[in-house]
Amino acid sequence: MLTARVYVGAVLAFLFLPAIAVVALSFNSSPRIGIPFEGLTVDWYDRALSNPALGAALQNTVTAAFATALISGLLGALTAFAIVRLRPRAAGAVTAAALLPALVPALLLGVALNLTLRELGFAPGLPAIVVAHTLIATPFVTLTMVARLREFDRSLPEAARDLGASPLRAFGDVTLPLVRAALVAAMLLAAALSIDEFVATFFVRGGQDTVPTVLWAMMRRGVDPTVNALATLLLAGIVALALIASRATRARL
Amino acid sequence: MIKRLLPASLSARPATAVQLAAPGAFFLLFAAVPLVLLVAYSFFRAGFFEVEPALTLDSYDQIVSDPLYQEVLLRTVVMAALVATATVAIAYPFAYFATFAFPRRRDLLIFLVIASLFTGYLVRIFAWRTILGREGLINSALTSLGVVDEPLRFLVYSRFAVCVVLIGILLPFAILPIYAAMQNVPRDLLESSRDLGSSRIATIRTVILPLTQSGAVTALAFCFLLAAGDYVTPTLVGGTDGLMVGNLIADQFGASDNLPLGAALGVTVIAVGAAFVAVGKGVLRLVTTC
Repeated sequence: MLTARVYVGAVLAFLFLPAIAVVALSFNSSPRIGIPFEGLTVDWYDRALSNPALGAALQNTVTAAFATALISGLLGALTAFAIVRLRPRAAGAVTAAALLPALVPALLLGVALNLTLRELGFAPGLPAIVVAHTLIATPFVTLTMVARLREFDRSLPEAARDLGASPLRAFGDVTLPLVRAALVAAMLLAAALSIDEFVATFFVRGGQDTVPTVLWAMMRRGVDPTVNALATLLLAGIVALALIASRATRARL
Repeated sequence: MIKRLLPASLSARPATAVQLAAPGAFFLLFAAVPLVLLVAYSFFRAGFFEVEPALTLDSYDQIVSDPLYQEVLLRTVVMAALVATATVAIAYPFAYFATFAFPRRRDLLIFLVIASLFTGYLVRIFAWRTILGREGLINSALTSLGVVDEPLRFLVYSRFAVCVVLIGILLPFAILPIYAAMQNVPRDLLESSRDLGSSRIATIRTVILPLTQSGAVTALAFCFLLAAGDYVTPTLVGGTDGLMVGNLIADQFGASDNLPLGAALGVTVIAVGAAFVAVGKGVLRLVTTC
């Protein structure tokens, strides 16, 4: 029992140590990374926020997150509604196909998209970034929605239909309110994935920056405490979305 | 009334097909076509200014004959295999303990594992550099405690660093499928195995491992592919020693601009990954049947 406790604790510490280190160091007044701490400061945040590339990057990141949430929410929900309605064998095939993009390393998705853009004569940029993020996020939306729809009582919209509601009305008045919380949670998850995505973005971004690509440029230049500050801000954005998402799933409106 | 007498699946079918049209078209255009194109490009010829659509094994030839590519590919395979095996080996007991030792806390434990995925991919890799660095958390702690006189150099910009960071990044991807498989192990099967006199280890080997094999193989496959395809980790903490095939692929689509060669390297990674999973499956079957 003790072994189990120590083991589980050690693994969790290993998983969270990096994030804790970054947040703690972002407030450390000494530019030298390490312990002991010399004092607290928010100077690194000032410097991180005065980065001239950040404004445009933030705008791109927010736009991409919104678009990714909307498109992957729509595509994922459509796929999930189809999967739960199909017979087991067909459902399995559709599920496997829907999850395939999640199995391909983001690097290969990125370079494959890069090739396709060149081949089709499309310029890389924000729309291409949204496509890449949607590819990566949609399998997660589909999975979340399938899990919710499996426990969804299908006799409810059927009852509405029996009472004379049109299919559209039954969907809008009965089905949608019942799955809305799960859909919102899945879309927030998609937004969080989009905000964090770097690998595929790098190959389709053209000249456009997102917050992770700005972070990448700073990281490559060396160990600079402003990176910790910007990383903490990015982290705060992702965690906020993920937390609201987990709240929304539990709320079961 | 007549409509309701029809079986539900029959009347639902055309609607389902229409429903799948939009996601289907999206994935066909932006995932299937690009990946097919990637495979096709690997057989094209790299001209001086543009790629010639041809059917040639030039790029694969170059990979097989150039000692640099051989070395990096071999290193990638060895490191990815090591990382995948270590990650699954660390994840397995965690999933086991979460399921059988702390059944009441298991939802919380898995929630934490998933939550760690949302602590930023780039952020985590960079954080490891500040933890492992020459003046990083570990070295400054060790020197100030007087355990070592000089900072340990192998901690960062080395293959060791790449392995540690990749394990940290990939652990959730290994824990989740193994944990999911463990939920399907019937409890009474464990009890009967114990009642019939099996030791705890024997029970794990003869009951739990065979029943969770699919989860372990999925985890192994995930980890190998993601480790072999990562280029951020070797770039940030690998130094010159830790270069991996992901760096070469990224380079061919950037500075070196040799698309067929980059595509061929990518296809090679996937092929090697498939081979690794086949071997892993065989080994697991051997362990559970002996």
